[in-house]
This record gives sequence, C-alpha cells and structure tokens, in this order.
Amino acid sequence: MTGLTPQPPLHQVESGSMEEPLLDVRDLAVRYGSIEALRGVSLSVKAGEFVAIVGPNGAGKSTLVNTIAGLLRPARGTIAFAGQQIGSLSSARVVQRGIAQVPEGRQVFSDLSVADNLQLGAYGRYFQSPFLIDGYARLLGGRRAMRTDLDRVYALFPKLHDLRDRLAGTLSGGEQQMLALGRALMSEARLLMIDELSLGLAPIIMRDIAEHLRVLNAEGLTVLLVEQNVNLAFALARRVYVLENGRVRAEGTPEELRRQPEIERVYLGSPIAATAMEAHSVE
Amino acid sequence: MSEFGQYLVTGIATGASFALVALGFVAIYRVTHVVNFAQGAFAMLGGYVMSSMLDRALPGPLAALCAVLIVAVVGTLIGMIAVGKPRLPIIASLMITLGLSVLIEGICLLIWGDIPTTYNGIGTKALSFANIFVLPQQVVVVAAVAIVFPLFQLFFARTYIGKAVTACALNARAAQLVGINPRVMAFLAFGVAAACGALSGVLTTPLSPLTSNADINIAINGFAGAIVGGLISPAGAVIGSLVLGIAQTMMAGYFDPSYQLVVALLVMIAVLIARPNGLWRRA
Ligand SMILES: Nc1ncnc2c1ncn2[C@@H]1O[C@H](COP(=O)(O)OP(=O)(O)O)[C@@H](O)[C@H]1O
Ligand SMILES: [Mg+2]
Repeated sequence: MTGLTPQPPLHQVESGSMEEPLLDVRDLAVRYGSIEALRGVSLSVKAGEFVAIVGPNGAGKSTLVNTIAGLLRPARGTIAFAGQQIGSLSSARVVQRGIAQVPEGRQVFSDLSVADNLQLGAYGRYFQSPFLIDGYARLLGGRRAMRTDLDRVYALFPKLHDLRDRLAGTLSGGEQQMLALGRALMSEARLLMIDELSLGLAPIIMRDIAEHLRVLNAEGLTVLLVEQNVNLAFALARRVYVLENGRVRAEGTPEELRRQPEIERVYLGSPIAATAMEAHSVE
Repeated sequence: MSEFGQYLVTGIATGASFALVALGFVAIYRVTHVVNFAQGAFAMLGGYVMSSMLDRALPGPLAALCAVLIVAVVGTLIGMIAVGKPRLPIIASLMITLGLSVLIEGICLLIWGDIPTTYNGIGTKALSFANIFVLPQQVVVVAAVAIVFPLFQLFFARTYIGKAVTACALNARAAQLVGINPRVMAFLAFGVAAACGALSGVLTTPLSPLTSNADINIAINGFAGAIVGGLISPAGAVIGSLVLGIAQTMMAGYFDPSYQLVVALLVMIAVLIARPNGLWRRA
C-alpha cells in the first residue's frame, strides 16, 4: 500500500529481452462512429522502461492512451497488462490494476484544492464503490499511508506543498501539470501514461518536470509518454513509437529513428521540433 | 405590519420545505446534468411512508428515519434505472425519471388511496410572539433546513466521498482516471436527493395533506427554488426557495391563494430567461 514507485521485482529487470512486457497492445483498432482513429496498433512496454509515442496531431495518440485507460472500447485487438487482459475493464478497474494517466490538458479538479486533488488520486486504492463498507474501512485504516504518499508527492514537488490549499483551477499551467502528475502518482501506478507533457509549458518548466519524470523512471516507474515535442521525447525515452494516421509508422531507439531519413525529414525537421531544440539539454 | 411579519414567518417555513426538495435537484443535477422529475415523488413517498409507519405505532423520530431511509433506497434504485446505462443521453434519463414519477404516483394511489393523507406533527398548538403565530411543525421544518443544509455542504466539501462526487461534477473524465465511477456516484446523488426530498415530505405533510398527485406541485416549487442557484449551487437553492416561499405567502395573503403556484412558475420562467445559469453561479 505504501511507496509511490514500487520497484519491479529484480528478475524482471534482469531477464533481458525474454521477459513478458508489462503492457502489451496487439492489433488495436478504435473507431469514433465512422472515423477509424486506430487501425491495428501493436505496442509493448517492459517493466521499468521509458517509452514515448510521437506523431502529428490527429495521429491517434490520445485515442491510444485513452483506450488503454479504459475510457474507450477497442473495436478489435487486445490489451494485456501484467499478463492479464484489460481491454474490457472499466477505467476504474484499470486504475486499480496499476495504470495511471496524466490526461491531455491536465484536467485537474478546478474547484477543489490542490491537496484534495492529490488525495482523490488515491481513490481507486480505497474504494471499489461508495456503497460498500470496505472502502470506508480502508480509508480509515489507510490514513497514515495516505499521509505518507502525500508527503512523497510534496517532497517531489515542494511547490505543490506551498499551494496545497489553493483551488487547482487558479494554478498556472506548469503547476497544474505538476498537480496532474502528483495526482497520478498517488494511485501507486506501475505504469504512468502521460498525454502531452510539454503542451503549453514554458521551456524551463517543461525541463524541470521532464527531469522529475526521468528520476521517477530511474526509481522503477514504467512510463509511456505521448509527446508532440519530438526532441523532448527522444531525450527522455529509451524507445519511441511513431504513430501516424492510426498506425505505427516506425519504432526504435531514438538513435535508430534519427538514422531513418523519412523520420528525420518529417519529424526532426518539423517546426514543432525546431521550436524546442533546447529540450536537448534535458539529456 | 404584524400581518407582514406573519406572512414573512409563514413564508420562511413554506420556503424551507421547498429548500429540501431543491437541494435534491441540485445533488442530482451537479453530477448528472439530469433534471430529476421524480424529485417531487420522493417527497410525496416520504409523507406516505411516514403515515404508514405512524399507523404501525412507530414513534415519530423512528418513523421519520425509516421513511427517509426507505425512500433513499427507492431513490438510489431510480437512479440506477435513469442513469445506470453507460452513455445514455441526458434527455433519455430525464424522460425515465418522468416516467418513474408517474409510476410512483400510481403506486401511491393504489396503496394510500385518493383521500388526502395527513398525520399530526409535533404539537398542534401555535406558538405566538409579538402577535405572530407559528406552528411547532413549521419551526421543525426550518430547523431541518438549518441542520441539513450545512451537512449537505460539509458532505460535498469535506468528506472524501463527497469530494469524489464533486470531482465527478467538475470533470467526469478526470474522475474516471483516478478510479471514480461517475455512474455509481450518480446513484449516490440520487440516494442523497431522495433522502432530502423524503425529509421534506415527512415534515410538511402535517401542514398540508398529501394527495396522490401532490408531487407535481412539490417538484415545481423545488425546481423553481433550485433554478435560482442554477441547479448547481446548494446555497442558491436554499435562498431561492426561501424567497419563493415568502413571495408565495405574500401573494396568497395580500391577493389570492390560488395564485401561489403561478408565482413559482413566474420565478422559474424569469430566471430561466434572464439568467439560465442561475443568479448564483460562480465563474
Ligand atoms: N471524441 C471524438 N469523436 C470523434 N472523433 C475523434 C474524437 N476524438 C478524436 N477523434 C479523431 O480521432 C483521430 C485521432 O485523434 P487523437 O487520438 O486525439 O489524436 P492525437 O492525440 O494524436 O492528436 C483524429 O482524426 C480525431 O479527429
Ligand atoms: Mg492528443
């Protein structure tokens, strides 16, 4: 119950390429009515890995993470997490299995305080349903654990501690992103999915948050990062998927992708990348 | 002058009975954006169940508690039917609550008949001060609002589950991502709303006997009160209800009692046209 960033068991870290991935998406198709947003996407993330998804606007990146999170239903394909199928679970159950998401646009609870936002991040660990008594018992019994986890987030982001009584809606974009990240960490997830980490953030704040993410990953948290800023994604991730038009266009380490002229031309020469060259200094 | 004072006092008591119903509208609307047409039926059912409990010689407070709890369970079930199906359009939910309220009316007619039903409240001897008369039961209704309203506020602003309900109202998608199931929270809101409505029925039946179609007037008055707060502000709903109660009593006293409901309808229409989001809405 405690520990925001549970270390994966050692054998998983050491067993190299034979290991079963933590997240295994196969041939995933998702549609909005007649729009096919994903057309057979396969992707896998190993425990402890830092994987990024890049791709132009409308490529289906948000659709992919939202489907993994249980907000959307796949029309085809499977999603396995820690060896179990989760493709038909509700979002609440997916959170309880250990997948947290920092959604696109942060989506903090604007009229609740920073501290309330963070505490609600742990909701799934306590409650299956507000109609069952066990949740209240766990909440009462888990007060210390809640306090400890809250303190960990505050230790990670001291700014949030200073702002703890402020309404989340009054925070700046960077502060809200920290809050959304802290809220996700409160769920004790094994896999953290972040949709557009850098969107709308000043470079200095973006670097600061990215550095935190790197540390969390080094401590054992598995990260799946959706990022339009290709340079940031390449700087942080060990492996990158390029999504385009609902399909995986390319996959590889940042070095491998940089060597592909097509990718180089479309992404690394793009205006998005050009505006964020300083993201390299993250490395 | 004492006539004015009398109308004011009576009006506050009348408004207080609307306020409990209005709080029910707010509880449900905040989470579901559904206007619950069965809100008046909850109050009516509360009064009828109370009368049956008293017939079985239960002591008043115990009978009231039973009536409120029974109706809360009924309300939760109605919520399950009205908003239980995923992705049901709001208009469908709304029609379901309308249909179910008609069903409840019919059941009440079958069980309790069409003779107006009432029972004794807490003493029938009017208290008087400065030539203003007030029934003990009216004091009880006002006291109930004075107790229930702060509890209602505390529940949503201070308790963990209450904050989770509020989080759903603020951002259902983000709530799902921390493991909250908005539909289940909506069931909870229906339960709370039914309890508030039932309490209104339990406490006001001694003042105005019930008939099997009483729910329509109750619902209109409660809705008119709640709309002042844009259906989302509990404080706005209580103040709106009190103002409406006073206005109706003045109308009845100085002009014609048969225009009471017209006042409610006028308030409703005026607010809906002039300030569709309520006079109270923050931000
Ligand atoms: N709620 C929706 N309804 C209909 N179409 C949508 C919806 N959300 C996304 N889409 C479409 O699905 C495709 C993928 O969108 P999205 O996953 O948001 O892409 P990205 O996150 O990569 O920008 C786009 O063509 C977009 O227009
Ligand atoms: Mg997106």
